[in-house]
Amino acid sequence: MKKKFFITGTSRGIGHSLAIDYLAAGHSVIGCSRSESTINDPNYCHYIVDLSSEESIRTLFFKMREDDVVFDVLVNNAGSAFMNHILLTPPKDVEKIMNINFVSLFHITKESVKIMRANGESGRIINLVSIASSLNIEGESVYIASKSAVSAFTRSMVRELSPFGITINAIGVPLMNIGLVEKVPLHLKETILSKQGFKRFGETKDISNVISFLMKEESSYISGQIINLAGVPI
Amino acid sequence: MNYESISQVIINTIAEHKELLGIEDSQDITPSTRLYGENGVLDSLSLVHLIVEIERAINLELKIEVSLSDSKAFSQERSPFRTIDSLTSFALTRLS
Repeated sequence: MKKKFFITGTSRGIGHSLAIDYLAAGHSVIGCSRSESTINDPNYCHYIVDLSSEESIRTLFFKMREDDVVFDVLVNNAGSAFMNHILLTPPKDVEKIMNINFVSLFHITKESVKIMRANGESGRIINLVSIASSLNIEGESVYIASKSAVSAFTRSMVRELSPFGITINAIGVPLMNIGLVEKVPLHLKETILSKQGFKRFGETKDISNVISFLMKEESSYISGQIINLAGVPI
Repeated sequence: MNYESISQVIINTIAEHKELLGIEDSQDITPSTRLYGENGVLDSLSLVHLIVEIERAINLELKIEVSLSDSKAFSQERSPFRTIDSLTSFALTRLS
């Protein structure tokens, strides 16, 4: 059954790759990013938004309502990587990372639920978090805290969203062969890979496989779960 | 934008969504109707539904974007959503 996706952060990396894959599979995709669309497909609709700005997100959803946009699946993909030692981390960087990785996700989720609740009992929210939260990698404490906030949000939202028939789950993304991995130093990549159960980079299909499972009608009884990839236990 | 127009949007929205909100058809909806808190006609989930529907109705009918989120939403004594009157006044402050 064809679905309508809303994927945040579709200009590059995982979000871009997921959008291309779902479009190729015949689904419709709404995407957003700070820049113009890099995807040219009749079933793709793009909005420009600054996810670090609540006002920009409110404007995004105002436009969506004007355009009568509806969607079944929200993939909260957009986020920012960050590595630094706590003693060298300016407080403003903590606020920035928490804002882009958690607060903006809160705003997007809140406004999306208002749209998805009107679709009947089929809504799916999938948050992309990180296996780093389970591995406690040094130098990633702020990034891990921001992603762990999303995991906690995912678990605790279940009871608030279940009356609307909406499930919310998270996928613990491993070290990937695309996207934010470019910012990760080589020695850290080796450390993370050595701690994964499977010592390879993740691929988009590893993520889309879990999304496809969670999208199924039969998965309407699964919510509040964090599914780590790469053989990393929670 | 005035008190009467906002109040009317709220009353119309409640009337339109009585089943969703768990309000009996026979229940009269007037500006003094207790919505939430002691003797209110709504439980917390119905209140969530109502507020979202009112935001949507204001957006559609009055062409104005408004957020009615509030940190005291579920306060039994201080919720701005206790009555249609208090909700109308609250919405007006958000629209001003």
